[in-house]
Amino acid sequence: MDALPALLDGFAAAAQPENLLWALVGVMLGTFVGVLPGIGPAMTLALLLPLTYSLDPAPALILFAGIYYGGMYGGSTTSILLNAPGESSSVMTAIEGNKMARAGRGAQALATAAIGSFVAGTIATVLLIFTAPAMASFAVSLKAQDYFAITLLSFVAVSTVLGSSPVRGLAALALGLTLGLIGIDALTGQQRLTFGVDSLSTGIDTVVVAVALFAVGEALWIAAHLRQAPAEVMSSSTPWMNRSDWRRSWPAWLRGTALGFPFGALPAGGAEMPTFLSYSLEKKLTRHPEEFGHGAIEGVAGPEAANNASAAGTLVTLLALGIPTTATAAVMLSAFQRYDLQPGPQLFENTPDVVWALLASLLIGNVMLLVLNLPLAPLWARLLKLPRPYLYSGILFFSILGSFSVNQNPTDILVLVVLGLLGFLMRRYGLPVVPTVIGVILGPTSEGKLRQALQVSNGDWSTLWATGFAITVYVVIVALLTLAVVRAVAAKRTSLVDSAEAPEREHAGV
Amino acid sequence: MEQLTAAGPDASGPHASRRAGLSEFGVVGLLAGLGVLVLVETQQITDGIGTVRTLSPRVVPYFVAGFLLVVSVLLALDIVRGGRGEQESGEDVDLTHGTEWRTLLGLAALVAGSGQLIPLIGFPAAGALLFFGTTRLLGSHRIVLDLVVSIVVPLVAFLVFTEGLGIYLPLAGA
Repeated sequence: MDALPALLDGFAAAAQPENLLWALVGVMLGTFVGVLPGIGPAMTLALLLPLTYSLDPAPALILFAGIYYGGMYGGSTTSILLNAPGESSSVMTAIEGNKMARAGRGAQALATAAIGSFVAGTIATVLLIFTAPAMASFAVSLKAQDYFAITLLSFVAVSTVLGSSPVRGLAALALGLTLGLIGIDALTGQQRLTFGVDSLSTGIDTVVVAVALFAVGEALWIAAHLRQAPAEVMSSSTPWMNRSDWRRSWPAWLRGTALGFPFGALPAGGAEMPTFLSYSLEKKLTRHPEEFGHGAIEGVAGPEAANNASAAGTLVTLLALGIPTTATAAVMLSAFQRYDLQPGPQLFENTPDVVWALLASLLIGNVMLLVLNLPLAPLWARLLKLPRPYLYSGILFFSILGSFSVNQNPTDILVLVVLGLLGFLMRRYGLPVVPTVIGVILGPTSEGKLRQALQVSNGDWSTLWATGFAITVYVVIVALLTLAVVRAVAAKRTSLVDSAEAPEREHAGV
Repeated sequence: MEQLTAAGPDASGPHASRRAGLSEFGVVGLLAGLGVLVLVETQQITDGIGTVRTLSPRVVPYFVAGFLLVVSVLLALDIVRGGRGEQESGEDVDLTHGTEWRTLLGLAALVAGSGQLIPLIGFPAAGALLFFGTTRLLGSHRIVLDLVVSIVVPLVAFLVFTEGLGIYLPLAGA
């Protein structure tokens, strides 16, 4: 294990004044945008990605790492003070966090979220540093059919495990796979679904897809249903915690980290599951069960730590296998690809300097966040009162700015609008957006691996289940699909029972 | 725009839930329509080079088309059995009123239009038009402040991107 010297080199690179400055800029900008209501970490990344276009790979990824952690931190502030989780992973934080803020304990909620994020982020990043290279050297032994199986697992997991309706998750995935087909086929040079439009032949840029579905879709959806009365913002003083808050928080942080990291590192990752499990666990273990539902600090500390640890866990799969399992990781992958860096087993061997500088700056960014954001929290909180017309105009403006600066092509803006309207429609009819984004990005990867496998086997399809690893993955996929069917049937039962009172809604599981 | 008409109005009244249910089939139509489109388009793809020993460029599109059709059937079954898409909620979202089509279509038109204007009148001007238009459409009534914000934000963003980060954006029309 020569992670340590490599990491020290990484620190040396990341600690250069210029790179430190980029990390600082990233953390501030990420927090600034992440705090804005309705903007989750994935949208923050997609909107700010263009900022990195003119930089060298190392500073660009350092800036990006700062934006990433800043966006996550900003999101928790919004959840707590406004009860507006920007992403499904901070829904659990919002439950108890907003109750605490309403009970006048907003400062403590913000403190346990910030310090918990720091603790979990640091531990999980250290775990990432030691597991990712090991995972990468294991991944070298994986064959194309194994990768193909993993991509299928990601598809199934992201569309059926999360969200309230598996069939709508699959529909969203199908839309994404379709969008992913557009463009010239890499191997054969054939145009697919381009309808003779020139600018479609290079495919739809991932940034445009992400910005359209997340930012434009969200802005259009909210604008068409804008609440007239201003939202209620809880105020907060500088975050601090007393002795009892500390005593109740730290075990929850550690448990949250222990749940979050492995779930994030699984190719079936995402932060929804571990944050939910962490919340239930804390509710079960607490000595103050009466406080749950009225603002229990453990209920903020655990899920928020799980959320951050899981985010670092997703980076294991992203860096070592090259497979994004969350929307945030998907946007990150497109950032890597922009610099011709291909995440995967070879990444650590081919471009160690960039990777280790990135890992080191994740640790540095975490410290910066803590130092800056505890004192700055009241300032960030004032952003929540931004008049809504300016907020949503701003989101649309920066969507155009980002999409236009990708290729300087006005046609991209038309694609942005069409996909933005698709995003609107998906929000109206309960289709989750994340499977679509994963489908667009991972679809072509999946096809490439399938081709590689068939090339080696001379077109013999049985090669797909020729390895033990692939078979194991397929078993997991079948298990997930079975679970989804069972859930769908169970949901129907309950909705039949409920239908006398509330015919229009159905909640299936988490 | 076909999707939009399919979405239908969010009527309130005794028949609201039945009509909202009907519009759910718009999504089924979208998926099925896309499935057929992909199917038809795929038939026109030729093999090209390099497919002798590996996968033809048609295989995965055919699979995706089949997947779209299967999912559209599953979704239709789900809706028939009473399943409904859960509308996204949020702090700024008020679902008790119907969709404001004027705002929605106006915003979409503004984004599309100002995007096309960028090469003609430059980024700062197109951005200011977009910002001012969307702000007014979203119900802001402080005209002076709106004007100032609409001019300052795009200009600052333009300077940061071009001068600070070295990313090209057109200043004036070509």
